[in-house]
Amino acid sequence: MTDGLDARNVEFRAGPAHILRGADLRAGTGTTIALLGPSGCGKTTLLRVIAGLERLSAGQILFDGEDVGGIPPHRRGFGLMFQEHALFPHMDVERNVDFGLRRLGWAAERRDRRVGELLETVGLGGFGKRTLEGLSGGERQRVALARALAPEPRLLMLDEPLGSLDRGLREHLVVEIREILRHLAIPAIYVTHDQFEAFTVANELAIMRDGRVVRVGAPGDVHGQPGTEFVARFLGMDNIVDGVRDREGMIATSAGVFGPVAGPPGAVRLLLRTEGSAVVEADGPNVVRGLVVARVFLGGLTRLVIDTTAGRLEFPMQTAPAGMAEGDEIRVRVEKVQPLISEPAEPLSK
Amino acid sequence: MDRRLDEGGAPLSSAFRERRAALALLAPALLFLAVFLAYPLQGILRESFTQEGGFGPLTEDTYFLERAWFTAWQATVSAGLTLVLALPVAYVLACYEFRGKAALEALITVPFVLPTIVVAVAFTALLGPQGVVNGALQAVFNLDEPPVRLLNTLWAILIAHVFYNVALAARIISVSWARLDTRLEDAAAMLGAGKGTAFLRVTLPLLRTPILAAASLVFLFCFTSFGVVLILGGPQYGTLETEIYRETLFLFRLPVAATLAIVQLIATFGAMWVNAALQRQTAQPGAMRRRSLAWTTGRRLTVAAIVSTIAVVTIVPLVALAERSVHGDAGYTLESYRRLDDNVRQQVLFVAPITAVRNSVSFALLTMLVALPLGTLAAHGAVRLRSSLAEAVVQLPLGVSGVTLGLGFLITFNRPPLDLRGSPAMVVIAHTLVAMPFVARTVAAQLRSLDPRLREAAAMLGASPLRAFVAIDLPLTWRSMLAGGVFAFAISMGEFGATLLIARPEYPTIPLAIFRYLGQPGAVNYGQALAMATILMAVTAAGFFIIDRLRYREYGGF
Repeated sequence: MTDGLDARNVEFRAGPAHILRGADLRAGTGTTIALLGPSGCGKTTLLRVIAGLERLSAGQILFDGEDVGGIPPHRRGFGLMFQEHALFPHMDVERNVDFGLRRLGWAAERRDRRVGELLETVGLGGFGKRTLEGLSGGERQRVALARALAPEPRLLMLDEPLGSLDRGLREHLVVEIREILRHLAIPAIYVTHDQFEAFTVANELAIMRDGRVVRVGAPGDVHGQPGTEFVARFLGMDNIVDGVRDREGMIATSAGVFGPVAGPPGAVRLLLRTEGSAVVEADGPNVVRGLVVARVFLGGLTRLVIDTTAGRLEFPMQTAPAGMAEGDEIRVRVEKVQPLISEPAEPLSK
Repeated sequence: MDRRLDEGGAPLSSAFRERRAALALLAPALLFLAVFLAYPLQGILRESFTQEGGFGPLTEDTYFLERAWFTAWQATVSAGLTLVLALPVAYVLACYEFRGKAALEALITVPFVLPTIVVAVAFTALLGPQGVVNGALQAVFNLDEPPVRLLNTLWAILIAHVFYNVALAARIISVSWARLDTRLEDAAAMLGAGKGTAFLRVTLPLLRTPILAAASLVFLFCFTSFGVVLILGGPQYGTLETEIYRETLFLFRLPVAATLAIVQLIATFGAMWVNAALQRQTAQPGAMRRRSLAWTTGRRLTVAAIVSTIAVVTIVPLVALAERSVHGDAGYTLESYRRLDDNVRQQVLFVAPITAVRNSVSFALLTMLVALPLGTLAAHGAVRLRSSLAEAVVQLPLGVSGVTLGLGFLITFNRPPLDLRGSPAMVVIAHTLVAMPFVARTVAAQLRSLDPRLREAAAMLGASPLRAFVAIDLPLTWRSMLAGGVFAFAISMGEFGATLLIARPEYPTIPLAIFRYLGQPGAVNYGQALAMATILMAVTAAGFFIIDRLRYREYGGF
């Protein structure tokens, strides 16, 4: 028996659209999973199927070993925080948070105490009697979180909870959510398409593509070993070139020779990682040569965009070389390369 | 299926389960329509193909052809005249903001919600031989005969139809007009077009669809107009609707009546279909509302002229009705109201007016009791199904005229399994058919703006579907349900055509009693008719103002 959530081989079809195609997702106690993926990959649908708002077409959803697939959403004991929050407009803050507690049949005094505690937890102490109209976007988001937490769900799901907020507020709130989730002894699934949110909040990443979960792992592991071209590109690593490996493990590309990387000889897709790259004077192995197309000042970093014989590559640099102008020739030394598995994308609907 | 999946789009709904629940919600209304609309219509169709029916009488005798021609002709002319008056009003409503505009809009809509019988009586009070206008002219010019003789003329019918529909047409056109991009007119001006040219070449063509939509709706209403034609047109002006009534109640030629009803149904459903197609084209959600035009002296005068004209045209007949109802030979008196419990004729078939009031209120309450739940459930079903077909089906009764409905009831519910002869239930059922589409439409409009995720959020917090309905749907849509209930009440109070055919003589409603008193000679009878029409006017106008207030107050941003 697996404790927590165990969704196995989940399929979901809506008419002709085949949205989930055998998605697997496990979330044990104390795990916060960030469910990442491009738009339309089925993240929200997977959450809705787990929540019971959609009926799965095939597969199993187990919780603590029990199959919950046939249980209606209001009896699953799961919590869901919606995109745009879906707060009840005709109730004040307190009644919104109280809604789930009433369903549990708690006594008024116990409910009041719980609502008060939760509002304190999310930083809205004393906001109980406020109406929603007077609240800012960030405050509404906090009410939604308190409301989802109130009935002590055994699984908490958050569907892009910060999606509607501006960037500064998001970076602030995601840290708060992380703190709250760390203190809960329940599994949580956090859907986002923002990798920085994902890295902040989660101790596990699950990356979805075309209705399947294609990669699961600790954030550091996934980022350090993306494995496939899809994952690498999704995490923003776009310096990928074609090459051929010889018997010594050296990989020849049209941008230069890299390696050695152990493995069978033959064609490979190669990721040129940007960590530790530096501008050098001389050609040699693991050095890319190209023309500077753009140098983009990003505050602490400078991004160099260079055109090479293998295409356009980008390198963020801690210290940009002085005197470098657009159109100049440049050589960049790459510290680490990784071969990738490249698989063709499948169309979402058939 | 063209639904956006996942991010940003509308949340998915579990197609199958949701569908079944939606159909279950629609079921009572569909069943009601099948038994009480489809079945009687089927009866009419069958009756029209019996021996004396068919299309024979229609072609042999030019009489019916003439009536059909007249019906279409007067409806067309009424629609045309209505547009002529509605366009300036639409211009004011669309292009200007001013204090009291909402009140003006509500005021000019009052005639549209009044029962036909009230409008008809109001015009007799205004223009009839003992009406306000003739009374004043006779007094001023010392005339022995009433100089204005409009009753029983075509003009009386046309004027009443325009009075009835002008606000409706103006509102439909003004909504689209308000969304027209003012820059188009500016662009035309920059290209050298004067104001007149810009209006004719840019504005008017862009408003073609809403103008046609308004015209088709007015045509539809005037095509089946009954009370106005019967009372103001007199015997020589008959439409298909009055002809069906005559054939049914006086000549007992049911097959002929049925054939006429079929012809009329084809025309009304055709007009409904055209109107629905035009309104679909008109719908352009999310468009900006244009800013009010800047005030200049010329514009002030124009707007003032249009506003005062429409206000006077709206108010005068209604005031005339109220005035005549308290008008006696020796000054003002409440005599007519005092005699409301007086059965002057002392006949079984003539009841005291107060009895008719009591009957009407009972029927209206019962209608509300049936139509409100049926229409509300149907609205929930149709909205959840996201099916325009389902919504159209619920609206079908609107295409069936009152007299046709009454005829269908008479010839189908006279034998087992549904023998309702003489049962007051028939009246309630007929009124429910007319009222339910309004209830469904009103509730559906508010439901559509309800975020379905609120229900899902409730479910995730442990609320069963029923609990979610009580905690979310009810508190967020009660206004529309209340409005729907008031609608149902007012419609039942004013329904005339169907009731005239199916109500038992000893259970008359207010409109029936008014109609009977109008047909009787003598000042007392006419006075009682005026008094009852005034009461009916007050009740329906009050109902309308309640609905109007409910509509304009919505929940602020969330």
